[in-house]
Amino acid sequence: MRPKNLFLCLRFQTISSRLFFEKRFYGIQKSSADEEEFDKLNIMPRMFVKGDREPLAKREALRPQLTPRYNRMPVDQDWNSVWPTAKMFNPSAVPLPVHMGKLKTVSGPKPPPGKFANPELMKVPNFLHLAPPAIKKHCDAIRKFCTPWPQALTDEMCDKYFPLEVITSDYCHASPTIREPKARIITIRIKLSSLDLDYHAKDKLKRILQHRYDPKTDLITIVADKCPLKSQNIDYAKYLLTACFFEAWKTESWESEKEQSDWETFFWEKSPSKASLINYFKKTFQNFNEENFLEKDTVKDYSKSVKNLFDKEENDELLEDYRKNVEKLLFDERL
Amino acid sequence: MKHVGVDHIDSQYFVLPKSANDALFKLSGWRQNHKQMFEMFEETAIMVRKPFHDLLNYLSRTDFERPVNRYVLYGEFGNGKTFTLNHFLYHCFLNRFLIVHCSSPYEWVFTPQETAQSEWKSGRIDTPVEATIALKTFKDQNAALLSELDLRTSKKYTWSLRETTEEGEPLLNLIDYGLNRMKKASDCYAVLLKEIKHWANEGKIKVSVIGDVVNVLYLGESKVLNPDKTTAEMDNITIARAFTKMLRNDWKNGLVVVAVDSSDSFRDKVGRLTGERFGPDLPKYLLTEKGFQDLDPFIPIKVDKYTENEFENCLDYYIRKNYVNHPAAKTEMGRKEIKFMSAYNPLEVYKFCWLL
Repeated sequence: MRPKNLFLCLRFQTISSRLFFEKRFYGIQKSSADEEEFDKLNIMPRMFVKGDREPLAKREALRPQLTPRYNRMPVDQDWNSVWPTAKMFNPSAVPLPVHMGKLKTVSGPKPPPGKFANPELMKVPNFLHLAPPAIKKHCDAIRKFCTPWPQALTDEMCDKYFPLEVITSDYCHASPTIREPKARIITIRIKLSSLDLDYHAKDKLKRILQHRYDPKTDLITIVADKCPLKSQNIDYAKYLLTACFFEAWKTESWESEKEQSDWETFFWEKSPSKASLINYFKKTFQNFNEENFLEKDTVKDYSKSVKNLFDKEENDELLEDYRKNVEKLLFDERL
Repeated sequence: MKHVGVDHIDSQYFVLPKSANDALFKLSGWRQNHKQMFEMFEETAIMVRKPFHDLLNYLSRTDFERPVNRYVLYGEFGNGKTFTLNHFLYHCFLNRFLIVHCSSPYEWVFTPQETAQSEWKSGRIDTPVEATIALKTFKDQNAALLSELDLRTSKKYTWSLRETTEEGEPLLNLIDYGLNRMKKASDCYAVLLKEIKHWANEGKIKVSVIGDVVNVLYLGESKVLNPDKTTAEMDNITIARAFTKMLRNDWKNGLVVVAVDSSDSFRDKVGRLTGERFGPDLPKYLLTEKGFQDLDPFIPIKVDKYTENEFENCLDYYIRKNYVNHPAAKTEMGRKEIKFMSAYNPLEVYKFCWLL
């Protein structure tokens, strides 16, 4: 009887310190009837005592079956208390049919495996602690530290006093790392009208910015992604905007060489169209007064239609308008 | 101003007399497919359309003491710009205008038969054959008027050591000199236009300058080669330079009617009919910045596609001439189909009916 001897030896050596061990293996029983009475000491380990308990298989068969925890959860439970903080995925606590991963078998691809014993789900960080009610709870908790939004500060005033808009992006997705290189890319936006510029500087800034200025919305958009960090990129974009602004105010010597093909819009006053019209009337009338002539409505209409022809996309309506105005000048105009 | 001319009924065909057609459009004016059509119909029939009436209207309102008015015909390819121009040319002929006609400037600057360096000014390019044709055309078109008006040169022109045209010689002599001495024809044409401008300014004659596809003269570079194998500029081709000078409004007692057209060969029929154009057919785009500068202020006149009435008349004419023989084409459905297939474009109507 070797095991018996072995356990006896153990018992004698560690009798005081291993009460728990004793309880499990030797069945030290406290009688509830009489506190004073000593517990019965069974020397023989319970596993070797015949007829003491039901066999394991039978015990398991008799044990009442509990439904899994995730099925026992009520629909209106407080999820925040189930999953209060960030932790590894636990299938029994999540009442959702989550699938993740890939299965490649000989017979072809299979649907992604479910949540049980799924290492893919355990590897990735999850955001089950960030459900909307939980966030709301957090917000409610920190609300007492916030002050209310100033009532007088409307959207228009925001545009006026805080014209620069910095757009950054944070990424959270299922991967082993929380770093995302795209998060460094930032965009700054500002309305051109909110900058203090004169006509020349405005035109030059538009030319410097090229596609970064949208004439429809009047917005300047600068995207920076050169530096490794978000804050560095924000600084860089602000530097670019500043540099462009001050460059726009400069007038270089070569800017006087601007030709008609460089005009941002058609200037009838400077154009050969005006010269040829005045030439025409000088030849027609002896006592031709240029200043009075240029103030006439017909001339103004004509200049407008020529400007339209150059600035807008040429079409039949614009040409018809041009024809009418030219007709008035060529046939009916008197001094 | 009172007009001489036949009564023109709107959207009806007007038959150009054979004698006039021979006198005016013997060398140029009609293109090859036009001539083929007239040969087939045994008459030169032109439909009287709105742009022609517009031109007549403007002509009646014109004050000839003012600098010349420029009229620019524009419209899609095949809409009848050349027909309108030639119809108006005939009207000017009847009203005793001196006619300066250039029907194919692209031949001058893109495909001249011969080129030579100018002896008058180095760097200029002469195109003797084209200049001779232009001189001959001018002589044919204005034969009666020239002999009657007795125009004489205002200056002495020295052609070479021995050959000169004295002051006060008849213009016909100048033309004949150019026709006989092909080498000098380009310079002769330039001088002739200069003289015409002079006499028009003097008030002796009334001139009508008519040009087709003039936008090719403003494209900047021609396809003619200089002696050093570089392409010559448009302004360095003598006759093109002389003709573009006529389009400016620095003279009076005249009028300028020109047509602009995009290069036909680049354009595909499907694109034209479905409205996806190769490029716009609009004058400012076609004339380019330089041309617009030269012609502004001009009066743009749109030559549109057929109206319903014009289309019906055109098809009636084709049926009457037995050009359209197929019985199905004479039914209501047939007409509708032709309308649909041709998209009311006069040239396309003609081309489509070719098969019927």
